Amino acid sequence: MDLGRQGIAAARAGMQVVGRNISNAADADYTRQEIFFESPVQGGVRTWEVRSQVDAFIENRLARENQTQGQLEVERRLMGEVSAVFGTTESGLDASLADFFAAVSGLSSSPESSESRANLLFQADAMVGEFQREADTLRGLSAQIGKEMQTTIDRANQIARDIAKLNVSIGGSASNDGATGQLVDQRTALVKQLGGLIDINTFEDGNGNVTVFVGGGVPLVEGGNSYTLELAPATGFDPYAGIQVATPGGTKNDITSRISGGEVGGLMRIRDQVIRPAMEDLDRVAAALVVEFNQVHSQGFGLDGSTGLDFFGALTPSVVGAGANTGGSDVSAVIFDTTALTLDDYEVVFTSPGQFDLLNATQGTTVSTGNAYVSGMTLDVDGVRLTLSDVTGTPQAGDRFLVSTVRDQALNVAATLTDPRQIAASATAAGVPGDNANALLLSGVETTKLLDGGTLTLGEKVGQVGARAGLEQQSVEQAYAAQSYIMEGLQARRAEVSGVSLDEEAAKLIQFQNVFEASARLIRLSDELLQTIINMV
Amino acid sequence: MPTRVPDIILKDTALLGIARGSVEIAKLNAQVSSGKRVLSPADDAIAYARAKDLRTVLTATDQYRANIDRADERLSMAETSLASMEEVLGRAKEIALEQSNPTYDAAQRGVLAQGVQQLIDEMVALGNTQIEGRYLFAGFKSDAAPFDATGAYLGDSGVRNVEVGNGVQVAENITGDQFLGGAGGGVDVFAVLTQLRDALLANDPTAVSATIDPMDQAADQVTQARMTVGFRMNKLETHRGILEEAKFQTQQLLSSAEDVDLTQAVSDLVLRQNTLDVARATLAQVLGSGSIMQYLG
Repeated sequence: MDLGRQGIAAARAGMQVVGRNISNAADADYTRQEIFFESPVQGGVRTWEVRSQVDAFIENRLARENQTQGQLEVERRLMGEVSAVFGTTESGLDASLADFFAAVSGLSSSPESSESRANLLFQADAMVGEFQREADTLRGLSAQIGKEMQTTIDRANQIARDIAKLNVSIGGSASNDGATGQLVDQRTALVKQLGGLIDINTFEDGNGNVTVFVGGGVPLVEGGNSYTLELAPATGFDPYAGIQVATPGGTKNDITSRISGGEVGGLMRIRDQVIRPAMEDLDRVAAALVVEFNQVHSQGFGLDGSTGLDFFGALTPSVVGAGANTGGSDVSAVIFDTTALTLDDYEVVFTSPGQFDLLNATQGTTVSTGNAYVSGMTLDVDGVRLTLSDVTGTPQAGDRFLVSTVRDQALNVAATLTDPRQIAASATAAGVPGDNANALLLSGVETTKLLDGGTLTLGEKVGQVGARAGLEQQSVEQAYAAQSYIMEGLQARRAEVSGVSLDEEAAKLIQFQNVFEASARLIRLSDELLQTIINMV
Repeated sequence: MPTRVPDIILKDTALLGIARGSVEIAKLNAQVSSGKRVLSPADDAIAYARAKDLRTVLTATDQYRANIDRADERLSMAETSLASMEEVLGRAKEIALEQSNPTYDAAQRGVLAQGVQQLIDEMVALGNTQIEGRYLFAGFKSDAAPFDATGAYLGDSGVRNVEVGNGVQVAENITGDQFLGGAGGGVDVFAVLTQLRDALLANDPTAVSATIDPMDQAADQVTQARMTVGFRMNKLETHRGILEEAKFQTQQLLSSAEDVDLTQAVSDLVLRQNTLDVARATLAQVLGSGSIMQYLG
């Protein structure tokens, strides 16, 4: 009779597992459970364990590949937006630049015509607008990435907390019932999700705890504790944030340089390696155009005899203090000699409160070292005059300032000449409207190799910027397609092991039903036998 | 072959096939309707960059052609003026030849002196030929008439070059001081005509005769100028031909870089559509067939 009772209990447990499998059949994260029985020596049957059917190798690979998947999904979405900035094959800055220089050539063909002059101003406005639109859109994308990084690490922090909670729940329960299996499933899914957001490594200790490291070794989840990911403040000249982990003790580990995967890795890579170089290139093109075109223009004469005028607004140098500066001094810069400009960036580095070095940041060379600092002093370098002075205090050793005549020029470029008569097409003084000699020189700016050490024209550089973004987008698309195949393959292999087959479950259901019925019959039979014996008495 | 085929695999595989097919169809549709293979850099980044480059080349080519068209209009106009000047000088020479003969009297010569004055006025008017408000023979001082009523030159000797190709410039004007004013070693055409008029007024056949040689020289100068203009027009024509050829080739390159092979795209589209239909039918079949469960009861 006891045998029959055990059989019924086993069949019940089996049907419970089948029921759980069936009801979760559509959940991709669910792991199929199987029930195993043991036969004790004294006879009968006992549920030995309910085991989730997991291939640890595939699960690990899935978690790792999900990291790349998360990164590529973000990169793919962003690259679509980035490469759209540079327009179709018929639009964009290269088209505007070509139209502008066509208008300059048109001016040289008809310097006395007011239409050709008005057209040049119109095309200049259109081109300036395109410079600003592209630069502004890129800057907007950069800002959007900053916000996305915040929401992404917020999600990562939430997941880390949930993993820590599950560590506690799983560690506190018996390890071989089906309910724990589902908690483990949940945790495995969360770890996978977290890997999709940021680079992680995990290991499982003997007590069933999962420890999560982020950025190759900094703990994020340890047992029941989780730490917090934060945006790290900028320490250099970039306003862009990195990532740090804050521990309860108050220490903050900057892991920016160690993040390369997950959505955060993708966001930072596109921001730092695609958008920023593109912005810098556009700034450089704008600065080179402004300096060269103004130079030629100011040598010529307008119809009204005006001369020495800029066509575009003059460059305004920018000075940025490093985020980590501690002193109270500041640096300002003006351009005093356009002809001496090199468009290089310079760095003022204080070695002590009384001394500073001047470096050429673009060339990687030293301009001068050990300059004595006096508040209010000026220093000239390649046509740029620096003024260094105390503002809220004295400078401190390690303070750094970046002086650039290029930075943000694509945003700032403006066509300031508005009177078409002042366009300096003529190379001789007033009264000769038919003189197109200076217009021809202006037209020559288009084919002058002004960039990349005299190897690229303005148009070639602009084309290169768009082409780079295009190639990047294409390679991300291809990597994404390849990654999707890998993920599908792994998911199919995971499903092979861990997925629920309704056919299988149906067969098991019948099997357990049969066990149940047989066991019940056994009990009835034992009972009948017992009755027979009782009746004998 | 997988050893187990859980239900989720069946569904995922069929759905993925349909999703991929739909994406491809959307892409082919866009290609067929736009006629372009390269709609974004993701389609073909190299072709995208190349198409952008070629477009800027086309913009410049079109501008050079516009420059040539304008220069050509001006040179044609100059050519017409110069032809008229040749006629005027021809008539003046006829008068000079005729009046070198002493048989005419003072009254007849007086009438012809007036005729020569008219010719001078005509030459001044021709020297002040304009196109679009611009004086053709004034050099850079193109906003004011280069010749006054006496034929004195008020312009300058500025030679205007026009861009007809990348770094290629062609002179598009001739200045009145050269072929009419006698600058650079020629004769002053107006001075010769004035000399003839005055000789006629003075009834002096010898003086009239003395103008014949300079008159020939003047006519030569104008003819030379006309040849120069014709030569420049030929040169422009050559460059126009070069540009037409370059434009044609650029457009061919552009087309091969970004245009879609329509036959290919349409047949791909049909094929994909069929595949998608089959995938959908399969999915319905797979999901509809259920499992052993439905046979229990």
